[in-house]
Amino acid sequence: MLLFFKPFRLFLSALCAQSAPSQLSMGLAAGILVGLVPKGNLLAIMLGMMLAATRVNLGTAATAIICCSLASPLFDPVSHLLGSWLLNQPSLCVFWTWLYNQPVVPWTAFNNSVVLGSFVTGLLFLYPAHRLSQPLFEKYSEVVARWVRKFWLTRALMGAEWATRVGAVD
Amino acid sequence: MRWIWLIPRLILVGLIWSAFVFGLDPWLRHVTIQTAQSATGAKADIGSFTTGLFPPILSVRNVTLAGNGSLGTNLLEFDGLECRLGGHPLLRKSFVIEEARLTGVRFGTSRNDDGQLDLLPETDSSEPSWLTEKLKHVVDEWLDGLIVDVHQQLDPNTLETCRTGQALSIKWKQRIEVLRQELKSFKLRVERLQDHMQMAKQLRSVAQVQRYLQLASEGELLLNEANQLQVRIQRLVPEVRTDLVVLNQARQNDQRQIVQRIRHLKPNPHRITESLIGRKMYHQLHQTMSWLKFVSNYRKEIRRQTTVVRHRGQDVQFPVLNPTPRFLCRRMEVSGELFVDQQLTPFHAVLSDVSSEPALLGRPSVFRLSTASEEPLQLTIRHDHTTDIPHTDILVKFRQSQPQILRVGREEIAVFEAGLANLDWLVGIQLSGTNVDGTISLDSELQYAKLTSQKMNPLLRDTVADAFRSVKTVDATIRLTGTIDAPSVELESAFGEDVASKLQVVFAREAEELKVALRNRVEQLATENRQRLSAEFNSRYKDLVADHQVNLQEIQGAQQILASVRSDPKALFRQVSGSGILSKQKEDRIQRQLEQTDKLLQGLGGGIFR
Repeated sequence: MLLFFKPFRLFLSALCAQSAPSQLSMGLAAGILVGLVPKGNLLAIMLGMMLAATRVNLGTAATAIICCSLASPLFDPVSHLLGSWLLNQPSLCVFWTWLYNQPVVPWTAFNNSVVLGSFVTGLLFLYPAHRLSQPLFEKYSEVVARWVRKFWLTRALMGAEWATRVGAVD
Repeated sequence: MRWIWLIPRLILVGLIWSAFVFGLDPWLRHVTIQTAQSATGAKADIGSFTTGLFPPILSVRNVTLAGNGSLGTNLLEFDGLECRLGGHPLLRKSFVIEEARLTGVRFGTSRNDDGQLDLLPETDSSEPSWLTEKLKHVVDEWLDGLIVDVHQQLDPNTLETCRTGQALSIKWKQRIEVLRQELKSFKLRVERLQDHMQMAKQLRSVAQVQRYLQLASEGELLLNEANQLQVRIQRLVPEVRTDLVVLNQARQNDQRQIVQRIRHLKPNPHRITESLIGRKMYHQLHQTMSWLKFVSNYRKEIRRQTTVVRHRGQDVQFPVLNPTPRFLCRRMEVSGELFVDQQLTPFHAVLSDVSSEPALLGRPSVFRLSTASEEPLQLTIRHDHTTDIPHTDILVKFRQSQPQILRVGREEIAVFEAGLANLDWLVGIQLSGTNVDGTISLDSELQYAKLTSQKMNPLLRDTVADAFRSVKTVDATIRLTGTIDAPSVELESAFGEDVASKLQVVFAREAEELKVALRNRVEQLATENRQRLSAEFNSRYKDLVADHQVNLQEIQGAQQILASVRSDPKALFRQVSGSGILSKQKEDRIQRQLEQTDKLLQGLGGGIFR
């Protein structure tokens, strides 16, 4: 039985390894950025890879990605307006043209108004999301950990040692 | 700590890599199947779909595309498609197939299932309306028509003798009937006169005298009319003689003209062409047009299916330094087998410069196909969409070595059978938008011709067969104009004209042999008509004269009685006064009136002659 649970335990502990409040808030902000950008293009893949390469909390990031992906169509009108405005700026036209003629870049679909708009929106939200969520993580992470520890499934999957660590986050 | 950080990153990279390696190909296979099914409207199966990035290649194996509406039959099947994609264009999101090889192509193969999608769309009629309309005219009635033509020329009803005889018969029948009706009414009047005479006997003497005087006047009138009627009846005989002369003239005209009519008998060349080779030509045209429509629709559907539809946002296009079409197939070699004249024949084809943006490429797509068999087929299609209106040139050369049998006519009337060999088909069609303009030509050798008929005159049957035997080649051209959906089709052929001319020559030659028989036939008809007319007239005339004689006798008898009464008024007076009916005073008064009348008449006579 323990052998069966061990891989899950390892995976979950890896997801929650970077569990400092700043890492959690960074994970949330990066997750929002990746989640807002429409999938199916190289930009989304690259952002995902970059997120994975940083020392942010992947659990929080994954949760943010899922939530923002579901909600992102609601922001499409705003993203479209912003993206269109940027793409049609005469001062940026030379830059966009140069970018469009570079290898691989067309696969990013940056010339799509929603892709660019949502990407820029995500970038704009990046720092505020991090700054605003950090105090919340500091305040509530211990409460959440205590609440989570009550469940037998958490204990079974993560083990008492790890649950203690979660509770010891400062 | 390091491993805890590394593991999720490795897992993520692994997931992305797995998605590319294990997910991309099945996903592309699924998308391709959906696209093909939407385009064909029937099931599409792909055995395997493999892509590679270094170098960029695409490989598709064991593909079958079912035919829409063709149960259990594949529209197309091929063993493999290997494509080598251009790396640099791919980095700029352009799919350029530098070289492709499509192998094992087969058409119309059978499949295990019916190949239809759940929602089976309504299939069009196998024949378009314009073809149905054309084939309506191409019925097996040409031989019937020819027989009817010849029959009409020899039909007694069309001969002047016969027509004149019939007209005279009707004329005399009507004339005699009119006279008969007049005699009938005249007889009634005579009978009424006789009745009045009988009734006058019952009257008193003076009234009787007055009545007799009235009836005498009527009797005289009837007698005059009877004499006029007799004159009219007597005039019939010379008129009949004149008419018989007209009938004889008609006979002479017929004898003179009938040989000429046979000599100038020429069947309709267009009808001959349409009857003999029209059906084959129109079906060839139908096949060509169906194929054109299918390719056109398929191309439109593929274009529609592969057009990227952005549901989110709008793509802004920026100028590209080295513009390349989003899709371009520079060269594709195709090999396989196809049915040519119902024989499976290997073929080799090359398709070049197929592009999603032909105007950008600036070159037309060209497809060249050839077979190396006993029945060579060469097909060249040049599709130029570099301008606003697409222009397509199609050229097909095909030789059918297998003898083809043409059979027209109906067993109960006449059947014509001919064997054609070495049929050379040449199709040249230009499509400009939806407009079509082109020709489908046939040139072949006529191996044999055979005519069988139960109804046809044996002499004429042999004549027609001779005419066909002298024809050595069969050619025809269909001229096609109008639109692809409603083309205007016109069949032209020197063959029909050739046959018609030869038939005319043969008819002219045979006319000399027919001359005696035809003249005898006319003579016989004329004699029959004359005898019939004479017999009919004699019989009716005799009846008419007999009836008139009876009437005449009756009116003459009555008239004699009445004439005797009116001729001597004094005797009539004496008869009346002797009877004691009149008083003395009235008798004296009548006597005085008679004397005054005599004096007046004598004086009037002297005055006139003085």
